[in-house]
Amino acid sequence: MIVISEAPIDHAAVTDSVRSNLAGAVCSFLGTVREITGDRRTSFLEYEAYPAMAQKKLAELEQQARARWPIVELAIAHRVGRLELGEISVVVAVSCPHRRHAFEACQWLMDTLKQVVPIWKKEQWADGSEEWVHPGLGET
Amino acid sequence: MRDSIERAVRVLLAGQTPDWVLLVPGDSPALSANLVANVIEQARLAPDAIVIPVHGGRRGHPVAFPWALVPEILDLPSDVGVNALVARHRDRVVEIEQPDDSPTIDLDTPEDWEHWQSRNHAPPDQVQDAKGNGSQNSDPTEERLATGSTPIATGGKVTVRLFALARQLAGRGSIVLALPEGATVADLREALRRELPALGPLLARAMIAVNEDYAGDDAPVPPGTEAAVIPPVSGGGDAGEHRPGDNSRR
Repeated sequence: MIVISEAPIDHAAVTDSVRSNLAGAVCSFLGTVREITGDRRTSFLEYEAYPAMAQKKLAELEQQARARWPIVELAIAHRVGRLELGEISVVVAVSCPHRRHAFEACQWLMDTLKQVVPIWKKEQWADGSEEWVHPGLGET
Repeated sequence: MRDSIERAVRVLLAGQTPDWVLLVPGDSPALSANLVANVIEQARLAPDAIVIPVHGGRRGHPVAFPWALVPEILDLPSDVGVNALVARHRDRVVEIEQPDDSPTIDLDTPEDWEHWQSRNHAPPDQVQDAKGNGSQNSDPTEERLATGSTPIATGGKVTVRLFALARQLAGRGSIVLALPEGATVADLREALRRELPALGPLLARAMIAVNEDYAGDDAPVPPGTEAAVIPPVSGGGDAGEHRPGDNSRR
């Protein structure tokens, strides 16, 4: 299951969706909105996606992960739009027969997602300024 | 039209009200998903504005209204259209120029419909005839290949979508570029540099996607393609210099 949505993510439902009698291990990762980055304070975040391409890239990640680990079920949910502090921006859930593979696959999916899937976030800082997070461009 | 809009407003008033509404007439068949997406993106960027797509000085549809203005529709005199609302709030109007007349096409009569159909759905050989270099007895397909032309509807045009900081810098969600035959991503970058100087140094750091895949500078950009400017994605706090599609550190 791969979902990109403006609606809040029910992380328990996403995790539940990957449970299976074939799997002895379920690993879920939640990305949540952090208030403090270094010495700066965040008010809220805005996520923007290129929806069709993001769906396509996430589906490719699923294929790659399934080729690499014995994955039973896999679910990724990513939120777009405005997110308040503490809210869940992304959930990656994986089930495998054994825990090592579930941990590895979940970490790889999350790390790779952040590198290749066209979803961007904009920091709305508490001082009123805003900033697109585009690694490698330096501070704007 | 007033009547159906009023009904919609009453339904919306009864529920959880939206931030803004789009007015999309049913007799405007040329409105594309891309155009609607552009208007929505502009409405998000300027939530207090009335966003109207225009072409050749003519205003078209869909029009985005901030919800705060919408209930006023119910109070308009019965003999005036919703345009009166636009006139009343003309200081809020943001016009977004469109590359073709699709926002302004509305069909009111069977003749309008036939005219529009013949314009848009003519087989390629008829299009050739219309251009005056038509095909007596020769195979129209062959001639099209020989002259290197493409059907008029999409000839050489590439829609480039802009996201995140690129969209913000350019002040728009997309641009349609005319590219030469056999154009590559490098040509697309050059055209973007020329047409959207506001992108500045971001363009060099951004990836280009063609038909929803990352594409290198040598990749072809055929007519009718959807391309996109993909600024570096979030990456996470420890991802540093990672760029999308770069597998070198994995």
